[in-house]
Amino acid sequence: MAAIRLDSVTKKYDGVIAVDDLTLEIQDQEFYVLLGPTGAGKTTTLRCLSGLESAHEGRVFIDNKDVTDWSPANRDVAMVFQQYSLYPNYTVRENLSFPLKSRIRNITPDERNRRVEYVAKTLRIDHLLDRATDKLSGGEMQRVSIGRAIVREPQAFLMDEPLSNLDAKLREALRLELKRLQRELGATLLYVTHDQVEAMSMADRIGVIRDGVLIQSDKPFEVYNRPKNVFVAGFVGTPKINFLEGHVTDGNLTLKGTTDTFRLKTEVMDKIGNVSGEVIVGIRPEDVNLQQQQDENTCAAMIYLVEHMGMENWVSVRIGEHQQIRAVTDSAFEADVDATIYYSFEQEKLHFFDQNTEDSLVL
Amino acid sequence: MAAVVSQRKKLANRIMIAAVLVTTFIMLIPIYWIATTSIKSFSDAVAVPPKIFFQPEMTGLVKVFTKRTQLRAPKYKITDQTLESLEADGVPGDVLVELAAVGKLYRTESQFTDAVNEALGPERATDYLALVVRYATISDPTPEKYADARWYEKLIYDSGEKILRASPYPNRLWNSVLISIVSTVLSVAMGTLTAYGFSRFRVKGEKDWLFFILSTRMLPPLVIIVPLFLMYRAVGLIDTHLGLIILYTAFNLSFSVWLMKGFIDEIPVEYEEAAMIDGYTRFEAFRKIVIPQSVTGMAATAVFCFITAWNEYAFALVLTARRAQTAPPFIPSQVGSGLPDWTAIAAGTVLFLIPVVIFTFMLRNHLLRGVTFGAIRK
Ligand SMILES: Nc1ncnc2c1ncn2[C@@H]1O[C@H](COP(=O)(O)OP(=O)(O)OP(=O)(O)O)[C@@H](O)[C@H]1O
Ligand SMILES: [Mg+2]
Repeated sequence: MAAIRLDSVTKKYDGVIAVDDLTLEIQDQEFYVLLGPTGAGKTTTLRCLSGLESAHEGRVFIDNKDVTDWSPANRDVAMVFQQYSLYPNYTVRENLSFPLKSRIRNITPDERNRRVEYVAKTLRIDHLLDRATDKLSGGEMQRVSIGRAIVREPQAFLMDEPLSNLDAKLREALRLELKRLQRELGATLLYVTHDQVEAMSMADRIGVIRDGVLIQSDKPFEVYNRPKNVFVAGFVGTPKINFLEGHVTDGNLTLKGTTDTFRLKTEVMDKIGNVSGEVIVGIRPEDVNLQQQQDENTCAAMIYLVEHMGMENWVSVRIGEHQQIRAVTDSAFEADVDATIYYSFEQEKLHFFDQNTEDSLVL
Repeated sequence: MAAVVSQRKKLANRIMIAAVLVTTFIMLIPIYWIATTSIKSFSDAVAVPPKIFFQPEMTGLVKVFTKRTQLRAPKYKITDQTLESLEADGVPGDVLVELAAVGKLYRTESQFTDAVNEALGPERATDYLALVVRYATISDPTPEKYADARWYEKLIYDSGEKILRASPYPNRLWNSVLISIVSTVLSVAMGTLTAYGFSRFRVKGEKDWLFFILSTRMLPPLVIIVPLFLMYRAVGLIDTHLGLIILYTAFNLSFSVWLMKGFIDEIPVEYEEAAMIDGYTRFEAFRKIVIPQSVTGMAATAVFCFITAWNEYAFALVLTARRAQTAPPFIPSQVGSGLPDWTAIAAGTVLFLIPVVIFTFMLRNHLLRGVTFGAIRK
């Protein structure tokens, strides 16, 4: 397996910039997830990497070799497509051995069979080998396409939302398998998804991309806890982070549209360089505390909605006139709608963003 | 309620089947007509009202394969042979001597009888005339020839003609087969490649190109037949196989491109892209993935192209004369002089139909799937 590098890659389609000056480095044996909403340029990035599209600008390196002008076949990466990935009219076995029959690979039939059997066993599809591909379930199809990728032992794997059209249960199961497989093979894997849960659960590192621009490339923990901007903070995490407009003066945070004011700790103020003025405050629901008694540094709110999720409750409260905050409580929490409750924040977990640029103010 | 629905469904089904049967019946009538005419005798074929029951015969078929000429009317001449035969039948010697003097060849029976009457005098003439006429008749064919003739020659003699030589019909059929197959293969192959290009690559002005390709079919072909004839004559393509092949290929190409583009557009690009990433060149991917996937479309296109080329009449009539003439202009040329010989024309037509039937039958599975392609897929 090999490291991958994209160097200032730009790709345009009829004037639309699909990928904009994107620089990305993926280490050998790394599970890298490219995360972004639809139309962000994820697929385009993969296609530039695999050679299906040629970038307008920038260079592509695989295993430290400049492969920018190489054909897809010679780049020796394997790709799993979101759909239509299996060759029709072929059996599972033929699908798996197809990449091995390529002239550029020169593999003996015995070796071919050995590898196909091995991969089939690893992915637990050995009983399906002689099935036609249109007689497989979605999960089996996806396993076969993953199998067709790993049977080759390529430089790197590229996967374009391979699990997106499976049901939730199956997705979860395959997620685990994929992660285990990547570990076992020591594979370099670039995985594209718009599902942040997938990204968080599997990635060694996550790259968040929007409008062709790579916003942040970090470990999942960092992306979650130190988002670069409002977009990243909002994209990662379920339930979604709360954004509140606020005003900081002399270490006091006042939420817009309310009189709710919190005294910020000095560490927090230090972290954001003692800003003052208009800010966007982000606070994850699990970092919002609700309590029945009024306390120092709490403010009043009204219960708006309680969602029972099983192991926890999601409680939405109303502050001021129209604004809402969502909090995660344990499942024992009970409250009537419109009852008064008091809320406060885990101050260390507050995120501050510039009102205009939406970038994080954390230094 | 459910029973009512299924009853109604059954009824609807029956009506549909009946409608299909009636349509099929109507469509088959001309075929039936041609097929039966080809095995009727000439008199049955032109009988009014048409005959449903008749004695089948092969004359029509034999006629298609032969060049014939009308039998000559019998001629009359008293030869040594005639005299010997008369003698054997007991005609007295003096009569024979006088008859021998009538040495001329007579083209009609009345002239001949006049001559015999004159030679023998009215009395003896009445006694022997029938016998003399019988032995002096030189019929076409002669009885010996008729006796030696093969069955098909006899059939033709019986219909008042005799065979001169084999007709070029097998050769014309062969020309048709050759020209149709080659032009079909060419137009499907070129059409598939062109359609692939249009389908998979960004071609500047793609819509205009495609419209242009289609527009070559918007002109009635007859409009260009004269300039085409002049051009073909200038480059020496008149009456050559190559000439018709080029023409039919060009003619079918626009159709083939459009049809194949529809089929190839339906094949997801991902298959080829997967193959290219799996270590194949674009051409290998085309061969291994696209071709097997578009066999159905190619078969359907091939049938349409083949039928068009096979049935083409006007260009073949104008641009070919003998060497490269195809069957369609040849068959009506059989009408020739005198009465149109419908049995021969029908027989030629039936033979002409057979290759298309075989071709279509061989590809019928693909054809059915091809025609319903868009409907099945989403
Ligand atoms: N072949 C193309 N022609 C024109 N525009 C394209 C083409 N492919 C992609 N685009 C545009 O490029 C941008 C990025 O597309 P891309 O397919 O990379 O998005 P994505 O992140 O993969 O989205 P999704 O999650 O929906 O798959 C989009 O605005 C898209 O409309
Ligand atoms: Mg995509």
